[in-house]
Amino acid sequence: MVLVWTNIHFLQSVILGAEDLGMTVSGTNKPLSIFSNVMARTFPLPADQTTLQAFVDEYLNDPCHSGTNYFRVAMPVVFMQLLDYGSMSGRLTGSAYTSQHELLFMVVLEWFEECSTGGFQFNGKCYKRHAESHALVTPFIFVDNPLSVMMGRENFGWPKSLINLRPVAPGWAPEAGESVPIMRIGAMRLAQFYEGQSQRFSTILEIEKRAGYSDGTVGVSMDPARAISDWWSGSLKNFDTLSQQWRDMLDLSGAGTGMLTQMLDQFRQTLAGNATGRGSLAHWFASLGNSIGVKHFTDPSDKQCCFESLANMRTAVTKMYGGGLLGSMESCVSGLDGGFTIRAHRYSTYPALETLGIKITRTENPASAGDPLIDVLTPLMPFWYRMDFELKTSVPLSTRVHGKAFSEPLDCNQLSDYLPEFDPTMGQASLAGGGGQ
Amino acid sequence: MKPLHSAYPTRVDVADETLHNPYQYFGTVRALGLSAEADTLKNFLDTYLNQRLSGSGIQFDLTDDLEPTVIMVISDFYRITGEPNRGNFRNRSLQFHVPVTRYECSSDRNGEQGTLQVFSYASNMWNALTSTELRGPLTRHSTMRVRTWMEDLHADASPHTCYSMSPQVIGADGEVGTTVVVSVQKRDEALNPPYTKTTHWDIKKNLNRVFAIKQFQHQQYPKKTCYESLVEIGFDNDGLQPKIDWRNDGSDEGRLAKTCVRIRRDEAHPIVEKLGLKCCEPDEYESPEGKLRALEKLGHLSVASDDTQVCDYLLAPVFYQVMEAGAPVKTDAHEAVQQLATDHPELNANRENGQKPIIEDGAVTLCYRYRTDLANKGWLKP
Repeated sequence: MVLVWTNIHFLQSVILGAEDLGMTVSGTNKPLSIFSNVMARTFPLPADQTTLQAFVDEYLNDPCHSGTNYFRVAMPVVFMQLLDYGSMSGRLTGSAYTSQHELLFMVVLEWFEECSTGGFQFNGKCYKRHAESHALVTPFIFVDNPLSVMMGRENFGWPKSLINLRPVAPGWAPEAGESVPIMRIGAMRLAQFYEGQSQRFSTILEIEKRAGYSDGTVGVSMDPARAISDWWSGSLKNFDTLSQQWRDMLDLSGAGTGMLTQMLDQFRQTLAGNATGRGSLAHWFASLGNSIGVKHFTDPSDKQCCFESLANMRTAVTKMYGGGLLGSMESCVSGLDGGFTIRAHRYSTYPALETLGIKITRTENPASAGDPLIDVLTPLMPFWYRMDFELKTSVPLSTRVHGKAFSEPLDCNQLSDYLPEFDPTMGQASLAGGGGQ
Repeated sequence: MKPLHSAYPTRVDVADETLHNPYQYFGTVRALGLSAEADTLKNFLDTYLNQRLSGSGIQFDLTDDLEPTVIMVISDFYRITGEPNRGNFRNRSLQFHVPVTRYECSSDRNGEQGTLQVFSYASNMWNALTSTELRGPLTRHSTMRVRTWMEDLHADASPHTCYSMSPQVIGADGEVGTTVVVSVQKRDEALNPPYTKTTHWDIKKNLNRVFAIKQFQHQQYPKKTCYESLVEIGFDNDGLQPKIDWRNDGSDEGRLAKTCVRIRRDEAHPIVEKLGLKCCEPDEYESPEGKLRALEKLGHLSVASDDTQVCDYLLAPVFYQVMEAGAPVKTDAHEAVQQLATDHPELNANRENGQKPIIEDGAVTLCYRYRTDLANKGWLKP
């Protein structure tokens, strides 16, 4: 408890920039949630951009619920992230805090807004680049904290599912180069729908690492202020500045520079195919501050939507502890996979790979008859970072209730007076504001 | 054919986690009657429901406004299906129901009786999400353990915790953890509560129409809602078969008197306080953290918590009923799991033999609103 509040005061003192993203009508700028000591392991997965865009068009760009927004896929990569939250607390939870593990699939978007004379045209309408430039959407999120599942879904529109996440100790003395599981994610699943089968606990995803490869770069020294301002500076970033950031972050000197340059060049060619920086990781960094969620609830009688809202959640990194590559340098130069392999069990419940067009390296048969096929994925230069961050605001971009549009931004100053009071009697008060990303 | 994600009719396949009606429930329903203070319960009904519904044309009153009884319903369904043959889901749930009468001018539904479902918990996350996001009643995920049931124990059996429900709560040190909030216990001796009431309540007839508030918190203004509605859920309980009916009229061989509902005093789950449940002397005891604190004073360890006392309300139920639906119930958890895995042919046969499950065709939105500055305080009818 003491530690939590000490952290909060410390974080407040190191918040960078003058953006008052947390300012609400009430005049307070307390963050909705505070996340401390969050370790993120990111596994970029190549994906088919056409499939990704088709998903985004249906999920976000449908004219019925997109409002004046349009989102374009920024890069043909889906970022699979594995997060370990040291602690997280919400605005209404007071001193309460909890933690969780999380697995998510993230898509980086370019964000446009409709206008009369914009330079971009989508679906016959004119758009200009949104002031925020980039955003991200996370249509598949798995967490091991039930509280986070419900609050994330009901408050912010993050479609979370409950999982069990279990680290696995490598077997004794595996052969060099042999892949051994290091993490196993399981959930209650049905093997198939519409076949009367029973729900059971199943492994849905495994992360493996080749034996003999190191865990990653460590001991990275980094100036938090400069790193944050670089990371969050948005659309002006290009690949060259990004490369420089990586050099700084990795803190490699002398002999390592040539290897690093070679690695970054290969990564650039793989992701972007050119030297302009377009489609590079710069978009990913630029997008981190804006998450787009779809808050969607169904009417029980007609199975149609009773409430749906496109929501923009804004986050801000308040402290960086460090970051670097996952896996050994030699694996990044040769195969770019860091020595990691991801094995996704093909359950129809979570069609993340199919929906997002993630490229599958190969498909393996299951060990037991009746179990689903296993799709093997190869990440591209996985990396890690540890940070504190805050969920500053969550704002509806467009809302529809029983099929009728509700333009909340038009009367923003009075909106809170018009909304019905929330009744926390049934236990929501203790949970409100929690979530996670 | 779309899988589970079809609850997002206009969207692509993202993780939805809710099941569509109609639902079928196979298993056991247990109901415990808990006496309540009429004034407190009426006040709760007014503040939670009637004041909120002002302008909608619908109001509710306690069915028994003199000596009301709140029904604690514990279900243990070894099989729940959504759309036919979609799959089998196991779930335990705990709900509190307030018997109410619905009043609506110029409506043929005026005077209908049902229950208001409040404080609901489910062991299966899919059930919790389906109930909260689709059906209506806010249902929290929790851990539920069943060691045995009251009816399986002899009247002179030693004390036993039969059932416990553990949701996530905020601990004294601020950390969110899992703690038992509601449990059903077999006591060594009768509770001898300072209240008596002989009553009877028919699950089959009185739990066939359930009302609930469906409400979602506004993401930008946490003290406001972005959407709320009043829903009515209808059940076909013809398949329910009575198994146990204990009343405190001497017909239960004194077993009901040794049955105790224990509810922890918790700010986030104010069940007793809000519903005005009558209870015996609260049971206060030192929490495990308190014992650790004693060790801390001896210098053996460090504890952050200052709160060492726990308070449990002890409630004496005024009736206990058990009913079964669907195939014969396996009270043993292991047997139930086995049954779950192999039940299809038997279930179909049992249905043909008249042992049909509880059927829920679906809920109906009676009225909804998303802002209050419109006519009728914003209440609209679909």
